[in-house]
Amino acid sequence: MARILIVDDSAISRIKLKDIFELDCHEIVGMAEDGLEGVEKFKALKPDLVTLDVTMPKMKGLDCLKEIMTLDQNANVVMISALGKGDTILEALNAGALNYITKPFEEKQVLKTIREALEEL
Amino acid sequence: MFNKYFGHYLLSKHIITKEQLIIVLSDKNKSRVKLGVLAIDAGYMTAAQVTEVHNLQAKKDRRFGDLAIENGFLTEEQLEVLLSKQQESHTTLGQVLMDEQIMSYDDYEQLLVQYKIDSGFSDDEIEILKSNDTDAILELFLDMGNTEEVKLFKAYVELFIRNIIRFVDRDVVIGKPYLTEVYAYQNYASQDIVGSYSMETGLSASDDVIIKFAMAYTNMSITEVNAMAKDAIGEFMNCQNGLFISNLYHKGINCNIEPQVFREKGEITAQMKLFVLPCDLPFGNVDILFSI
Repeated sequence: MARILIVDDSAISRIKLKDIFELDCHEIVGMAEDGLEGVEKFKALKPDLVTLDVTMPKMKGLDCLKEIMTLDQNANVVMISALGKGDTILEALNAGALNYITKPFEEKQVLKTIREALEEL
Repeated sequence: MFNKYFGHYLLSKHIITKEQLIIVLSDKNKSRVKLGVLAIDAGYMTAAQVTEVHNLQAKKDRRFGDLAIENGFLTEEQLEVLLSKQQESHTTLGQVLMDEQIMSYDDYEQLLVQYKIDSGFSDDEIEILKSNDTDAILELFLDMGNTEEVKLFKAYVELFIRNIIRFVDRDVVIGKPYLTEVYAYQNYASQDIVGSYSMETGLSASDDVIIKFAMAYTNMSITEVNAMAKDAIGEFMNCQNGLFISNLYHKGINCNIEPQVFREKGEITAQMKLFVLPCDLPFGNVDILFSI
């Protein structure tokens, strides 16, 4: 079981991800609607894993990822975004993301990616 | 495919109910198409002439085609065309509507004429609609020149239609796209694409349709245009546009998407070219907007 922080501006995506993770016995320690809130909640909650959207208001996901990695270079972040183009994926992975899932996501794919990321912990 | 277009037209004009449309489009209504219906469809005979031949058939034991030729309503060549169409034809909506006694030959003929006027389709375009070839239909509708803007619009709506079919409802019927300078909306979910090209993309619909679209996309119970409904439409746009710019990236065009915006009751004034593609779904109409 992992303590997970979900950062996504879409309420639908947050609800779906929360349901998927809770059914897999993980604990959702927090949810954030934009990158700024994501950074603040990461500092406060110190989750085992963060799922992070890319296209968000206030602070974009890639900037949020870089802030989180600056705060903790061992942070475990999986990107979950509709933006699936090569340069964005590469930038996220180079910045320290463990993996990158493109939306619309499927439950099996999310769980497989999260389990693989958690095994690396 | 023509059955769907004509069926949705009859539905929008309140000539048939949704329940009747479902019945007449269902697979159980597969019967041989009558020559009289095909003759009206092709514009060879009027409804009055078809009725006259039917009346004659009631008195004489003769075939429809023979009597139509004998009375000067059809030529030999036209009959051959109709017989060949009858072999290859799917059941027409008109056939079923008349078999079910929802309308007469006269009604059918008049509505067909009115449909051509209202839709703006030529006879050739109607033939393409009857072909059941989705690619040809999109090609027909998107015949707006070959500029870079039109190519991008075409790529955009082709993907949009596939996503509607995949995630919302497979029974989508696309209308004729048009360019406009001003567009008024009740609800408008938009998302800007920036980078090599600047584009504004959006989906517009009434309250009722936004709710049903959001429900179909999320499989959640949504009863009003609330934060959840707006979020669902925005997320659909986000996924659509994420895929679109990924496709562009593979062609060497680098763009990014901005966060989505949902607006109510307003007007868009085109700064650039504003394309609109109307789409009919079983629960109502949506417009896809694309500005470049």
